[in-house]
Amino acid sequence: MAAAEGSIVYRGGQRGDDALFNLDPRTGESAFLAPIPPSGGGAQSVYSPERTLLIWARGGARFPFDANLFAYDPPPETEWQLTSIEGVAAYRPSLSGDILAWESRPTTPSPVTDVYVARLAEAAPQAAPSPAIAKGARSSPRAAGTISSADTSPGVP
Amino acid sequence: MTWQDRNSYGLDIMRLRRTTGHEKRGYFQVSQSDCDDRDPSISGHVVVWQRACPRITGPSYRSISGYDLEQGVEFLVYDGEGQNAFPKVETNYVVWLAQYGDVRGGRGAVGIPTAQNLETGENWQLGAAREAISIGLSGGVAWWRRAGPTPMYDLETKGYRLHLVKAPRSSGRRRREHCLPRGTTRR
Repeated sequence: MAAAEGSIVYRGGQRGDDALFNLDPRTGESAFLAPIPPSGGGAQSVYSPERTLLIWARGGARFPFDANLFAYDPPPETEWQLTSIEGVAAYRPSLSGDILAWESRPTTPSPVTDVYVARLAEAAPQAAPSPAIAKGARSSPRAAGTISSADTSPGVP
Repeated sequence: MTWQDRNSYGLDIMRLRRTTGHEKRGYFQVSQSDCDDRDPSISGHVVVWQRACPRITGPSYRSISGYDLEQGVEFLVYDGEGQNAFPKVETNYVVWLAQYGDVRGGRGAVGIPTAQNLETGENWQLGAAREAISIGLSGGVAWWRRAGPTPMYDLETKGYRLHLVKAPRSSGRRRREHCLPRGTTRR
């Protein structure tokens, strides 16, 4: 469970019918946010109320060593990969406005982890949702919307 | 540490770059140390995380660090006694679990819910007991998981709110007031 400012995102529902909900801590009221997308995920979710986007970490059997951050837009059920830094896994997102912070570590087992930030402002995909994602297949990384070490320097001189 | 470029946030490195039809994104490594920097939380222009530095013997020493994205400077939030873990930041407040670790009885790791006002530097404990399994902060309200009802604490008024509890199904006689910690009264 992780919280966006002013709200708490949590995963609930019955087995096989999971969904993400938003809890207002001041009123104690919960509201439906989105279903878990067909591709799975939902762990470490944060919610952007401004963009109505959900962001979470997803990996495989080596989680978190093989994890990356994904964003999901409930309508129209578009999902895309946010992080793709070579040799570095990304997980534990935290979001404030359009700035995303997360924890990263090398994809090989290592005790050294670091904290990264990036602006989400232009992260929304421009294209239509991938048919493969809509059918429930695992999403493939997209060039657009990907934070890549090959694209820019990390900003540390 | 310097930034590659500057704007009002000093975050130009993170701006979208558009080349040959492809959108490219940058990122910034906030924490710079040989230690283990984990569990980040961001609010506005402040990022906080727990820093675990190895010791020759015993478990890593865990403190709470932060970074001001506007000023471009790292700062220490808290490095008091024991392990400090799982910080959350919102506006002027940081909460975390102090003296985090295993307790006797093998019930798992717990800590004391603690807060700091970043403007004044004041630290205080939200609960007296070392009982919190995890902690959250949202809307000026901190809550922590423990064995039993989840306390909710208003950081502005420094008072408890009603707990998050599931309504009992078997009997309606149990009132919500029963879930308040001993010694506290409903405001």
